[in-house]
Amino acid sequence: MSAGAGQLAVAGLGIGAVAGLSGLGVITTYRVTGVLNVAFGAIGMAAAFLLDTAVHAWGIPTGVAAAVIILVCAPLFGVLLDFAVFNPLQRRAAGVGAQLTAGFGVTVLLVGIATVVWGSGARTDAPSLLPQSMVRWGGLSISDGVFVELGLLAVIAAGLILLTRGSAFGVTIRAVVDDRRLAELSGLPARGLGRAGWAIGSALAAAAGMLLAPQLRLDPVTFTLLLFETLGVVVAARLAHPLTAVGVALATGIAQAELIGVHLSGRPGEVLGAVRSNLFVAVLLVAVWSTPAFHEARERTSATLRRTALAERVGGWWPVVALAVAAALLRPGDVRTAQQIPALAVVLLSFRVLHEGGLISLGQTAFVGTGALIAAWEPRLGLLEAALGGALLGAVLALPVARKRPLHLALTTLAIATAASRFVFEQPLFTPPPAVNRPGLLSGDRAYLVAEAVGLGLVVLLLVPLEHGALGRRLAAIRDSEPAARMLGIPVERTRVLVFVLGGAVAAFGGALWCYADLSFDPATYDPLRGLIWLAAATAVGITSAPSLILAAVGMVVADTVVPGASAIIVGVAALTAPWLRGESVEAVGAVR
Amino acid sequence: MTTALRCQGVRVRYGGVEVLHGVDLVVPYGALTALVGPNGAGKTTLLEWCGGVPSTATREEGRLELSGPDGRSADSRALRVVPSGVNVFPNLTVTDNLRATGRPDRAFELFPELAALAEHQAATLSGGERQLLAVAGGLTGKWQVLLVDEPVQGLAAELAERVYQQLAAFVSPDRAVLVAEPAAERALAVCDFVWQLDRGRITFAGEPSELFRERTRSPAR
Repeated sequence: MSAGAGQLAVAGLGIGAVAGLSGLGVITTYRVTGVLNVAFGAIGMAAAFLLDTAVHAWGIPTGVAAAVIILVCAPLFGVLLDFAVFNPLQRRAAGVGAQLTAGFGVTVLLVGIATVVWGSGARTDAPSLLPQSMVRWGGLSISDGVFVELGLLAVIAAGLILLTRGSAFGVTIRAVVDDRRLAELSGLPARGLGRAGWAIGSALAAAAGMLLAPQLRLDPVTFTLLLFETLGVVVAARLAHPLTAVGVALATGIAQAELIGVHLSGRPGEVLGAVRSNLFVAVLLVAVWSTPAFHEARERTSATLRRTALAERVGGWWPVVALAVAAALLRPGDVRTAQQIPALAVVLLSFRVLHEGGLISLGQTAFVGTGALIAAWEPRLGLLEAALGGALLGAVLALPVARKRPLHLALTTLAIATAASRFVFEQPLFTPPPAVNRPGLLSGDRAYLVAEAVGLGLVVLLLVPLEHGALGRRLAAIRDSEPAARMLGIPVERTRVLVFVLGGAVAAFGGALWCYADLSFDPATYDPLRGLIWLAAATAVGITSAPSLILAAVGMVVADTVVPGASAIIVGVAALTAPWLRGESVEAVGAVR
Repeated sequence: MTTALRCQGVRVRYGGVEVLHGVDLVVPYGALTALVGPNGAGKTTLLEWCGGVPSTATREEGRLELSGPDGRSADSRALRVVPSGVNVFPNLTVTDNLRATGRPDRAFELFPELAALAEHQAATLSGGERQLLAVAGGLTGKWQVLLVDEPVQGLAAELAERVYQQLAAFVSPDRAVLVAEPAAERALAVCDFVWQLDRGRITFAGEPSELFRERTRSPAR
């Protein structure tokens, strides 16, 4: 290895160590609680901002502030999460969907609070926790900080391995991870372990955030997402193996740094640049597709109790009719705003389609963005082509993962959405012309709103056979018990792919509607975080109720019109509180197994 | 006899269906108590409610009192529940299952057939072997009150008899055992006291011989 390559590798070790640290935090929490802490990115972001404020605004020495945040604030926050959010969910036997939604609710809420408190602008002067001195070794200049990071990583990984191997305590942890409910019945300290898992996981997320901040620009959204993208190392480790997570994290960090030394011109250079900037996303994508199976905690089949939401009792069609009437009555400016409602409603209804098949998607932005992109490039038959494109994408993406378990499927969709955002939507190669044209007949704003209402009506119509009839019964059987459905000869994988195809088509159709409503294609609209907000909103209002989903779209568009960005905070709060305000939310999502 | 466990007014509802309608039940120390009743009577729901584990019930109410042999209030750690069906940790070996729930050495003494499976992963065991593992872990663990749901489900007749013998042997003045059984005859042959649960209500409480007489008088039951 040349000196230049060696120096780059050393630089990559720093990022790799931070990714490894956050990965170990996620693994720790998962191993003792069975919950994938998807809020770790937001916790790291909040900790980094807190340290920045403590040092720069309050004048507290960096070491003291960092120690208080890592050893006191972050663990307390973790315990609070366990006490207020995740333990109540587990006591209600909530499924993977409800747990992930709650985690994203925490993420959205923390990002919203950070934006309000610290602003959305990027900071470049985050305090560094590590010594800045350098040592010369083998012809390379190595920062002392790298040794500290690697040492920390080694100690935590070793501790985690020792804790879960051999000892009686290790057996207890493994028993709790295996079946939390049975562990409680057997008198094992499942709750105490859960609290400890959240405390340690949050402390490690905070440490990772504070270590990463000086190396990047610190802002609430981008920083959270960047930290979140390191989830690939956890997936590669099958949520269980600390050494694999550390190995993949370090290898990815080094590879990312080494790519800086590779120069290509033209189109290959653009592709290389995209890969270099998003290597952790590529790892996430490869990991979810190639990892055979996670160790998932055993889930119980809960009673699939469906309650009739308030909106359902009022009637399923009135929102569609109301939109058509609104098209005639609204002022021109309001018509443009109202055009976003059916588009968002269709996107939210795509979650309903997936839910019928017992599926949950963390990455609907992949489909929505694809639909919007097709519509932007092809104005004449864009709506139809977008739906077909979404269906095709659904089939292609679902085929390799149709046999996977719910958490694995959910993470796959998230990886796809992140990759689509970074490698397609944000790339100049795919950027459509700045001014998007609608199909000829729909160029008028009022005509377009009526057409959207009709499109929304068609999607509502599509839901009928999914709930009733032969297909509906087949889907209900798979939702209730997959093994039983297989025993009865129901083709589970084929049905699942069909649901993915339909969900993809609906989401892409919604994306096309959105693109024609905005008359532009903005990649930021199809950022993965947006998809998580949509999922949280759909879950909060009751994913099984079409009218509630349409009402949620109305609420979100109106909220953002009044205060830009308000819908995210409202959705974050709603996702965290809804399961307790309305019993059916947990049960509805709990049925996703 | 000193009361070990007392449930009062237990009501459990799943959606619009109430499956336990204000059940009162007492388990005394020094006795093997049976809770009998047909499938769907609510036995499992009652045991799980006593265990206080995560539940999909939409409404639960009632009062649970645990007492020590001295009559003073006892900690919830005194209670152990061995559920039916899913009752072993599938990714742990037989030995590790027993380390988590009880004592491997003692369990292997009671049921030598488990010793032969010591290093097998629990997921690979047959239904009967899992049941035996669950009961062995429950029996050899730390408890004062043990509730076992369908202890001999899936076991051959000879092994079922041994399991019941061991359940009876573990009863002492400072230990209480309750077994829930749909097949009343087997439980009634060895237990000291019996509760009959039917459609969420207690329909009989007394000695097994009394229940036998009652059943003989009204065979439809």
